[in-house]
Amino acid sequence: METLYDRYVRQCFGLALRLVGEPALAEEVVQEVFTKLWSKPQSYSSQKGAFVSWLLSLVHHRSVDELRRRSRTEVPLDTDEPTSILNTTADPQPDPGDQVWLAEQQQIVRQALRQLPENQRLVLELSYFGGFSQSQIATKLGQPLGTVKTRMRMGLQNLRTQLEPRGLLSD
Amino acid sequence: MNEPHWEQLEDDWEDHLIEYSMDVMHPADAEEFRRQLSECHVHVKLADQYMQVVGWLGTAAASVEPPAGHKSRLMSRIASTTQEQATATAAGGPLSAALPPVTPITFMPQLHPEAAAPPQVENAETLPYNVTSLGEARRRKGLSRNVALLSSVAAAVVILLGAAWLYSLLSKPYIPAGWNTLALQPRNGALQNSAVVLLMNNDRNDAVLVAGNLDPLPTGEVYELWFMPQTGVANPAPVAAVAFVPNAGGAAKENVKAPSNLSAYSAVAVTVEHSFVNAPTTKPVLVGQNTAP
Repeated sequence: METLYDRYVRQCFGLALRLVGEPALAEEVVQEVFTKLWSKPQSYSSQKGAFVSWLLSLVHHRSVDELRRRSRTEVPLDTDEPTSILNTTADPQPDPGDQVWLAEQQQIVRQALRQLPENQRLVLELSYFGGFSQSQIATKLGQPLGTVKTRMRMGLQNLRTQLEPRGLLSD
Repeated sequence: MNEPHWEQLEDDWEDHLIEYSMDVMHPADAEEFRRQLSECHVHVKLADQYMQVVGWLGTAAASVEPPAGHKSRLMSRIASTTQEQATATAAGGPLSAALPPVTPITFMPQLHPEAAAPPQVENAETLPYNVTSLGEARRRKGLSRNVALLSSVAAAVVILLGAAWLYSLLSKPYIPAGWNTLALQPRNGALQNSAVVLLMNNDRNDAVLVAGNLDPLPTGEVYELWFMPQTGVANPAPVAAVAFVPNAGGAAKENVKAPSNLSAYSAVAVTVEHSFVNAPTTKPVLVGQNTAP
């Protein structure tokens, strides 16, 4: 468990912090995820894809749960205008060895996001990193709900198209 | 009947799946959606693919070092947390293939007929344990002890296998299909503590150099990566790839585009140069043999 922690904690904490906005809360989220992983190691299977994406899904889910528990329906944003995840600094100090591929994975996903049309990337980021539902996004952007839904569908399908050849998705 | 593909999903269901995957669905609706999903194996497979894509979005967030003491607090918490027993029949779990199949209790075969039918109780109101005789009660008590012993052994096996499974996740880093790793070894007495790996994709002629614990260089000097052609080629000269300088922590990461088919190079090498040059001027400090097919 220590080695798993050393390998993945920085990505987990970074995602939790991005979502909940408070270091103490992010710390608690990560603790609960790793504790759950320890108590139920059989909860992961290779059918669920790469371990790191599954682990980060747990972090995302727990972060959103924590925000709901504290009666916050939206992730706190620094400004009214959402900051693209691509404007944040990727890991500046990739560690070799076990961390080699994690840094490359981050690069691949960020590159895939960059290649999405702006309107598709925006709705995906608002939903995943902002915690907004499709109807909330439509209201926030002043766009029809159907348009938002279509852009999210196309965005995820385009992402899949880019990630699949990189071997990041399992059958 | 062909399984529906992504493009054939009904839009409404797909919209629900998106919200479910993004964790923005109301918890009660999410619970209902999850229940419906569990009843349709075709959609479960497609949902898994969808959620994998969403799962990767998390890697786009910047990595951040947690506060000091976080690890020790977690380890203390884990030390007081028990591991759940995995059922041997759990489908798809990492332990399901490793655990032996459940077999009936055979060391007390005389119990099997009774286990198949409820015990015949003469007077259930006066027999609090619903047994036909004291002998039956003793047999059931013995069975309880054996079941408890078996459960303890199974729990120990599960814990050991769980640890082995966790270790297996760590024994190799996750390397997607199409990529090979090439570890560079120190040469000529230099960089003994370095850890340098070249990730190569022969299909795309892409490579990524990731290095750690590199010695700092004098101002103006650089490390340079070379591709070494195989013997017998018309031009055997090393091919310059990329020059790089480690950061203050001795780490470096560079994307590399190979000049031609990666499989044409038998080795890679790193030298120290005064600047990016087209021919090496010093002996290599790191060398790696390309054994990829």
